[in-house]
Amino acid sequence: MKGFFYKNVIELLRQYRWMLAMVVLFLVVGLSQKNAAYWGVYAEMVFGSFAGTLVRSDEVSGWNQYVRLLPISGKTAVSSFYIVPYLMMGVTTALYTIAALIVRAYSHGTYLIFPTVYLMIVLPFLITAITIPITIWFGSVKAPVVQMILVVLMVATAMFALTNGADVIARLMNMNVVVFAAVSFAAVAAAVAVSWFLSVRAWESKKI
Amino acid sequence: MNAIEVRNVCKAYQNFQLDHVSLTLPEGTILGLVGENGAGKTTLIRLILDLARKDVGEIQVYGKDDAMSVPSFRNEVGVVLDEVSLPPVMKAAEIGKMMGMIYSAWDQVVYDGLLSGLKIPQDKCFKDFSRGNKMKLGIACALSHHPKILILDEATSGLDPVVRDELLDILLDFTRDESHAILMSSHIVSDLEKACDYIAFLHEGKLLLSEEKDRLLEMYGKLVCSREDFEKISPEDIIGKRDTGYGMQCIVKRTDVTRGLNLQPVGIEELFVVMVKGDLA
Repeated sequence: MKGFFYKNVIELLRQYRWMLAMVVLFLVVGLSQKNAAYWGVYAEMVFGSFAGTLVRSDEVSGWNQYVRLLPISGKTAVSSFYIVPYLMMGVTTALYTIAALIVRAYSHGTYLIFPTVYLMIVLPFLITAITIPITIWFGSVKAPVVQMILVVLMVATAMFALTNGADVIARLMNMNVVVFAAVSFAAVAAAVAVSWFLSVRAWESKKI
Repeated sequence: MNAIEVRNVCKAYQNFQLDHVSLTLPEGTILGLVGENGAGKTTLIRLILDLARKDVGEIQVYGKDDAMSVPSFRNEVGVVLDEVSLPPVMKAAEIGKMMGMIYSAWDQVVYDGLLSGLKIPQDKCFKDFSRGNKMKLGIACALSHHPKILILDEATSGLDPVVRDELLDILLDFTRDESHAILMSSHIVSDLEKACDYIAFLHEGKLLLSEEKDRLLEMYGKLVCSREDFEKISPEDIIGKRDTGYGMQCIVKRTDVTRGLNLQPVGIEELFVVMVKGDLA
């Protein structure tokens, strides 16, 4: 695992420096503008997209085939796609939260920290959990098409729920914030676990 | 014990089939796999490495069925495929460091020695390497974790003659340990003739023969003779022939009849071409 972590960090620093720059830019915008807290979510999405980028890059270079000759299991190979992106997302969330608290304390503003942090965890973590197994399973050419179809289905489902499930939404709005957040985070954790399991199955089934 | 045993292995693709291939690689030896493009060499190697699923048959590596499906066993196997696919943006030293974290018996001293001996660039990323340098780095990675068996698929192609010669010496040195073995495929038959103990001919998914190289060269000979002498040879002993207009050139089995004629040594490449085409070029 250490070897793969080392390899992914080198790739991030050498090939995807623009991602780091974008994240810093988005965080600065999010922290410096009064109503731009959501830019923190964009920053997380950049790191979330790194997972799919890693899978695609390994496929294009042929490294995903070479890995099968190394003394590592499918679980280790797949875990390497999760560790750096989720670690970076976690670090970004933590740094953003600390920075936002400092900014709020000094600016005495009504800076929305908790909703932003909530979205920074739920949305990118969930989307990354969906992206990785799809990219492993369908490959770098078909995966974007499948993801687009899934996004359309998810948006359609959400729209349907909004228009037809008004009482459910009202109940959710009345729920205790801490409970709501805890349930959401648990659901995201479960989604990541299911995603990892599906990714391992997809990786192991990829023999010709 | 045999390092590799392949028994009646079949693998079918849409336009190609590997058909009941059986061969054996004894410990302490080098087996050369010869075949034209599309003969099935890479398919066979991929099946041995568990990169592809066989339809029928058995593959054992050091007596273990489907050994390569066990991750820890891959510590014992060094592999160089025809395309070396290391991380493109890493440099040679970084790749060595990464491999050191992956292989339990990684030897950084051996790796550094091979980087220096094979003159592998230290300051470039892998994606900027020439094909030859990529191969050399792949070979360095394969040799630096003290494997018991090496599997090389066209590993010498793209290398200059000097480096190929050095590499063949490294491979011969590797098999001085009687528990080691090498399976290598190559189009450069002269390399196989120099290094290999066994030769296997693959043609259109079928194994034409698998034999000790020295015995193979003893079994066959090249003959230039008159038509009268040619008529004396049994058709079953004629592997390939050509009418020059002045006489006959042919490759024949060494028998009591042919030994009486002026048989010349035949090369592996000539033998293979004749077995595939049926006639001399």
